[in-house]
Amino acid sequence: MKKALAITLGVVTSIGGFFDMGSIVLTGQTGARFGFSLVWVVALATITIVLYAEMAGRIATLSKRPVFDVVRERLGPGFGLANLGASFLINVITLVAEIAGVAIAFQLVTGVTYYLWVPLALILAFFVLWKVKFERMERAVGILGLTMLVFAVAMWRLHPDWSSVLHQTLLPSKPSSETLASYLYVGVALFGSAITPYELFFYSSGAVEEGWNKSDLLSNRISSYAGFIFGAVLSVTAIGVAALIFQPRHIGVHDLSTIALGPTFVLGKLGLAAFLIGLFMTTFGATLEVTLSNGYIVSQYFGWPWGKMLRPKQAARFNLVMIVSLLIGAFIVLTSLDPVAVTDIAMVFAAVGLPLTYFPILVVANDREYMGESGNGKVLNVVASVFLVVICIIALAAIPLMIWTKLGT
Amino acid sequence: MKRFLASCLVLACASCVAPAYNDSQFASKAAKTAQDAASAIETARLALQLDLRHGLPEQPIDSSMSDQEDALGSVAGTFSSVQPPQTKASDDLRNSVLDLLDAAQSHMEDARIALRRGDVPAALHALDEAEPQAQKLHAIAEKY
Amino acid sequence: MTRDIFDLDLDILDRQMLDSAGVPCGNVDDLELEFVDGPNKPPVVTKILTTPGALGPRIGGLTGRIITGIWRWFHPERDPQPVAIDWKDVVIVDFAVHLSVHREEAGLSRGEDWVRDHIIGKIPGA
Repeated sequence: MKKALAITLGVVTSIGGFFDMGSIVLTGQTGARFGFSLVWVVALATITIVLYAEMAGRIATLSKRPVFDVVRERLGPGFGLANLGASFLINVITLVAEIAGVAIAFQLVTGVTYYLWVPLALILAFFVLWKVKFERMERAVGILGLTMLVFAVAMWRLHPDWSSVLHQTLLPSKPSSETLASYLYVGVALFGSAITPYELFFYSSGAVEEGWNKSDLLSNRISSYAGFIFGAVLSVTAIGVAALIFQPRHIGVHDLSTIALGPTFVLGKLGLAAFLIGLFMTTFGATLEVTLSNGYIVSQYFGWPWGKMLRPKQAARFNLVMIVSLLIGAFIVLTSLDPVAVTDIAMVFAAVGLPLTYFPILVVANDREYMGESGNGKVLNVVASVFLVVICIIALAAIPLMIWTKLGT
Repeated sequence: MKRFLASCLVLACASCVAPAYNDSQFASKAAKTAQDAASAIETARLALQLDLRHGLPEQPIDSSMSDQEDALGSVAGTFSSVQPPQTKASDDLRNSVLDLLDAAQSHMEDARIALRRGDVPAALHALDEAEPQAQKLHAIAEKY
Repeated sequence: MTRDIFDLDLDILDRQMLDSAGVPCGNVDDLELEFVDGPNKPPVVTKILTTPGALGPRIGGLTGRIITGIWRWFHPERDPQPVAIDWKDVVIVDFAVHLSVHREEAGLSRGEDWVRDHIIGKIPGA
């Protein structure tokens, strides 16, 4: 039973984390503009997050220490603080996108402008964080988030020419109407949307809090592999649906209401309903996770009590950080920035922030003092180092590409 | 003081809409505008086609229509405020794009009005009439 | 990781502290070393320094001064000193530094208590 729960944790993180506002927007935009030619980025991102989530889970299990604890110790208090600032900022921008996603889901159902739904989304998030047992919430989000499988069903029902899809995926070529710079820029944002940093903060803190031990290592591995691969399948099919429906019609994706047309095209009312429920659940789940992540990283840096299982009074500063994060996020949504544009930018910054977290994880996963027999093997180290280099290149390229392409236009 | 304020205003306007310096820069702005406008028309059309086919709930389609109408209005507004270079080619391009945008916008308005009156076929018909403009806009987007 | 030899930088500094009740009560922000056995013998760790008042000077520079400044601003005392914990109050060092004292005795619960009493506790349902 406990194992099953641990696996749920992994799978849910992947739905609320891998497939959230960032993925919904970026997969739609990518498919519509670049067809299947950027699917390889999702594959690259999936391997990266599978490797590093498994390491973070293993570190949390054996050393009883969540990611940010390790970050401060390995980078020292100064770099740790800079990292904290950057991660906090990236989380807040991500939170803006997620809250906007929740509010737009309400708008699409009711027709009332999403600004008015922001306070409701805020109160709902606050209520769940404050009052609802986390496991219950996790299960609800996980099960209802599965409605996003509508993308997989839609892709299959579209009966694409699979050999051509495979060809475009495996031998990608940039559409001639797009510049190389925008191809790479959107690729970076897509990468960031698949592995936003908050996922690992959330995942490893959950593992520490639930008191995983050595016997949980296997379920850790299963959940991180299965969970993120599940998320990746959703992402790829979402790209596919956009590529098959929007690209031939020269439709660009600038609104969530456009993305909703994909599943509707194939499955009618049912597809639309499934998408709207999934949109709400995944963005709401991600709102909670990002908010918790901000509480985690600040508390862990300063050594305060933290945890979603503690009552708010037992972790007052942790809860204060979460409330402040939610309020800042909601305030920015209300400044009437275009939510989809904010999402794009958030995902690019997510990509920029990755090495800050991933490097210390790789170092500690090799520390025999903590890890004992369960430290990284040689093969894993080589592979993980190669991917770390890839992450660093992506992070370094992100901002110049952003300026060069004028935000990808 | 007045002169200072005036120059501030000029600077502020200039920073909002970057001027186009030569024909090719202006043409690429026109192409981007045409592409986004054609996309808005096609998106709204797709939404209405699906509505007609599946009898969808009112709200999501209404949201989609207003999103696309806003998008069309926004690209038209941005493009009309770009200062074109002083050549006949640019002036002609500007006029033809703006004409197409004007026509597309009025069809979009017709479609929205019909949709809100519950007449989906009429709304779709209005957008079908915008199809020639969408084709021409798309052609401009491809050409430059 | 219970052993006799510690690398102060890697194993003690920046580590989570847990009080006698097992509740997190800050990190090891700095250490105080003294030449207990005379100037020719190696120094001995006598105290753990914690709270932002110890963190700021360790980070140094403008950032450090800002941290110390904020901490002083919120602190009720006029000339606050960082909290120091005797090394003899350390029970064991593993994934965390376990203390034999309660956080309230050690003066480590001030910030948490303040936020609880003045902000979080006032919100209904806390």
